[in-house]
Formats: sequence, structure tokens, C-alpha cells
Amino acid sequence: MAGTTHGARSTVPIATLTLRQLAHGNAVRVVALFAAVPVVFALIYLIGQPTIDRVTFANNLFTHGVAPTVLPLAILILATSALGNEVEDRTMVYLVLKPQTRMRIVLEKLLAVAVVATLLLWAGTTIGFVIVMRGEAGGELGMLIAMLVAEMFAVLAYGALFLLLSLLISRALLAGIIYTLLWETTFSRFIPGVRLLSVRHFVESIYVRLANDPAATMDHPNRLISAIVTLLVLTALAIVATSWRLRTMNLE
Amino acid sequence: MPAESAGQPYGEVYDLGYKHYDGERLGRAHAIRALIVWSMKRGLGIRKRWTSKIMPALLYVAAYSPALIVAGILAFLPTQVNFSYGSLAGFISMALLIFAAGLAPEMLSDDRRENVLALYFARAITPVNYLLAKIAAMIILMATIAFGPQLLLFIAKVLLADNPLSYFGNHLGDLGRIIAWGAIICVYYTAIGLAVAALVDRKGIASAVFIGGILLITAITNALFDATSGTLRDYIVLISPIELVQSITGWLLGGSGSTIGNLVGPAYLVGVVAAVIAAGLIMQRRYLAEE
Repeated sequence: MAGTTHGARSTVPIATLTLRQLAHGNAVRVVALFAAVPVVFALIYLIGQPTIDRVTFANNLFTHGVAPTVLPLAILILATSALGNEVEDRTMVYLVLKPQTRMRIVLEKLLAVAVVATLLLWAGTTIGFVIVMRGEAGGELGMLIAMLVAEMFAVLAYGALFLLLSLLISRALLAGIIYTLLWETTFSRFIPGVRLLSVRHFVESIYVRLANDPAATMDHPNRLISAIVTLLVLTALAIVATSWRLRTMNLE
Repeated sequence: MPAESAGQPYGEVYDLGYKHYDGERLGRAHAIRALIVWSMKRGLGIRKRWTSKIMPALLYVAAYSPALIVAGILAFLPTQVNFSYGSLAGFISMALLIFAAGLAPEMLSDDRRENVLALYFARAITPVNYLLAKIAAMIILMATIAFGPQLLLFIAKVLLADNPLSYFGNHLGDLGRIIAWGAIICVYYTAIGLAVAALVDRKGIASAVFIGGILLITAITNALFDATSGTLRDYIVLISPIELVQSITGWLLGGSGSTIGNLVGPAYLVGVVAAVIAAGLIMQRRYLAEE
């Protein structure tokens, strides 16, 4: 079976391998459920008697539902099953035996996570957005694109962070969930200083700056360029730290 | 191999010293008790590396510290504050939710993933015994968080009263409500947690499905409540885990309760019972159906 994937030598073999692993696991199904959350909310908005207009609803859905909760949880599940499970299943040894640098392994793992997460999240967001907007979707295309771009940067930053987390502790998924709930969702709402250390804040800043829409607002958004640079620097730091951890950790 | 013609036997059975066990056989009850204790140890991270002990320790601190602080405040400023059990319940139910997310997969998922269930059943333990032991272990651990802080506050209030004995007599109802509340919440989260753990083999994914599922369902049912009208929507709270817990808290211990909970108290138990029945059916399917 699948002679094409096996026959043609992939330029990113570890990423291809990881994609195959993910496709056979339960994680993707769970993540697909998470990614479908905007669709469910959009449908509820559709059947209800709306008290707020469509643009506001779509905006609230992204800033209160997708950015603080759906994004991190979906990426967390993918990231831990891409890298942490290799350690848990004791298959990491075979991966590091190959003549590849550790950095390459981490980068390809991130690539696989990013591809799957981005596709699923984009699909969920787009379908949800179209359901909410219906006929007006075309006019508000800029808002949708802003959401999708912000999601892409979120996937990179969270993906790299959670890859690191999955190598640092054994119960990475649970720890990541608690981090998401407490730090990204609760604390950053009540303690203003936390936002400067919160991925969510920069993701929403990108969205707000790109959408450039009166409905898309938040407290103290960062400038577009500084938000993007911050997230990219965070991603790079996490990749370096993950590679370092992979070099030094005991794989038994 | 020596030739047979030598007249010697070419094979011999050596007694290598295997002995029958002729100590006391402790029986099924002991096996179940041992499994309960062992499961509790695993849940708390005992005999595992220190990283597994962080989470339980943090949760115990998070659940008990508000009660200790309040007891301290009551001791020094008795008339200034009126801190109710309902306000403590918020902290405790949050801690219980996270505790259950870590515990439930620890109870069931590993044994299935590592294919060791057959080893358990080779002992004096049947599948039903196994499940009962796991349920008991989880409920006991959950109870230490559900009851402990509340009882601590109750004891503090009794001891700090002007006349402890008569205060105790007058507030026996409080004690009953604390115990009823703790028991209901423990059973509820244990049922949902074990149902998820019975379906998902990987501990991490099971935790994520449990917490993520509870939060998502709560958010979705909240949105559904806002989007609909009529009397039927008052029943949405029954399938909305966090709102259901808040409603039960409001009903039994006072406090703000839940914004979507408009039912009379005992009706909330329908939601809890439904969760228990669903969990029972799932476990029956996963563990007992093949026999």
C-alpha cells in the first residue's frame, strides 16, 4: 500500500513519519473535535435569537473562544503526541540513532504538528465564520484572513513551546492544560502584567492589527511587527531549548 | 545425548526446589484491599519519580490553603468575616476537576495499555472486583479533597464559637450538607473521569478529553442556554458539568450558584445519576461484556 509515499524519498522524512503516526492515532480525531468548536458555536448562534450582530459575534468567538482555549488545547494534544509519545513509547532511541541533527528532528516534528494543526484549525474557523456571516462573509473577508494568519503564528509558537514541554515533563498534556486554563485564560484576564508573557496576547494583537475593524478590539494591543517578532523569537528559543533537551536527556 | 545401550536412564527429572505456597491464603477481600491501596499510591505518585508527585501535592495545597487561611482569619477577627462553605466550594470543585483529570486515567488506562489486565484476573480478582477496587480508590482520594477543607472550616467554626457544644448541636445540618455535597461531587467527577479513562488508553489523551470535554460541553451548553428561550432550556444545566456542580453548590451550601441553574435542588441529582449510569454502561461494555 501507499507505494507513492514509500517509494519517493521524502525530503522531510521525520515529518512524513510523524504525519503517518498522527493519522493512525486518536489524537487527530480529538483535535478535529476541538477545531470544530467554532462551527458548533456558529450553529448555536444561527438557531438562537441573536442579541449581538454578526461581526461582533464572530470577533467574540475568536477572541474569547478560539484564541484562549481552542488553539492551545488543539496544538498541545498534537505536540505531545508528536514528540512526548516517542519518549513514552521508547521509540525516541531509534529516531536519534539516524544521522540527523537533533535540531532537524525538532524542526520536522514542529513542521508536522504545524501542518496538521493549521489545516484543522483553518477549516474549523473558516466554516464557523461562513456560518455566522452567511451572505456577508465576502464583505468581511479581511477579518477571516486576520484570524487565519493569527492562528498560523499561534500554531508555531504554541507548537514549539509544547514540544519543549513534552520533553521536559512526563505528564506534559495535563501540565499544559493547566497552564492553558490558568495562565492563558484566567490569570491574563485578571492580572494585566501577565499579558506580556502570554502567547494569547500576541496572537490577538496580530488579529486585531490585521483585521483593522472597529469590532475587533482588545486592551493594549501590541504593534503588528512587534507581536510577530515576539512570537517568532519565542518559537526560535523554544526550538533551541527543545534540541538542547533532546541532546542531553536520558533516553534509556 | 548418551546412548541407551548403557542401561542408564538418559533423562532425569530434577527437583529444582519449586515449592507450593503453603502460607495463609488471604482471599479475595484482601486482594481487593491491596488493589485499592496500590491504586491510591499510584494516584498520589508514591513510589514514582518526584515529577509525578508535584501535581497531587499542588492540588492538596490549593484545596486546603483557603480553608486554613479562613480558619486563621476567623481566629483573629471573629466578627469581621462571614465566610461560608459555599465560597470554599468553588476552590475545592476546581481542584477536584483537575485532580480527577489526573487520577482517572491513572486508575484504568495504563493497565489496558500495558495489557496486564489478564494478570490481575489470574489472581483472586474478577473484573467486577477490579472495577470496584478502582472506583473505591478514586473516590477515597477524591474525598480527601472534597471533605477535608470543609470539615476543617467546620471544626474551626465549632472550636471558635463561644459555646462549642451548643454550636455543634445547632449546626449539625451544616455538617450533613457538607457531607452530602462532597459525596455528590466526588461521585459525579469520578463517574465521568472513569468513563473517559475506560475509553481512552493513553493517559495524557484521557486527561485532555476529560478536562477539555467538560469545559467545551459547559461552554456549548451555556451558549445554547443563551440562544434559546422557553422553559425547556432550564434543563440544559443537567448536561453542563461545571454549571451543574455550581448549581448543586448553590443548592446545598449557598453562595451564588449558577446563572443557568433555575431548577429546584434535588432535580440536579438527575444529572449526576445520569452520569453515573452512563459511566456504568461504558465500563460494563469495556470490561465485562466479553465474558
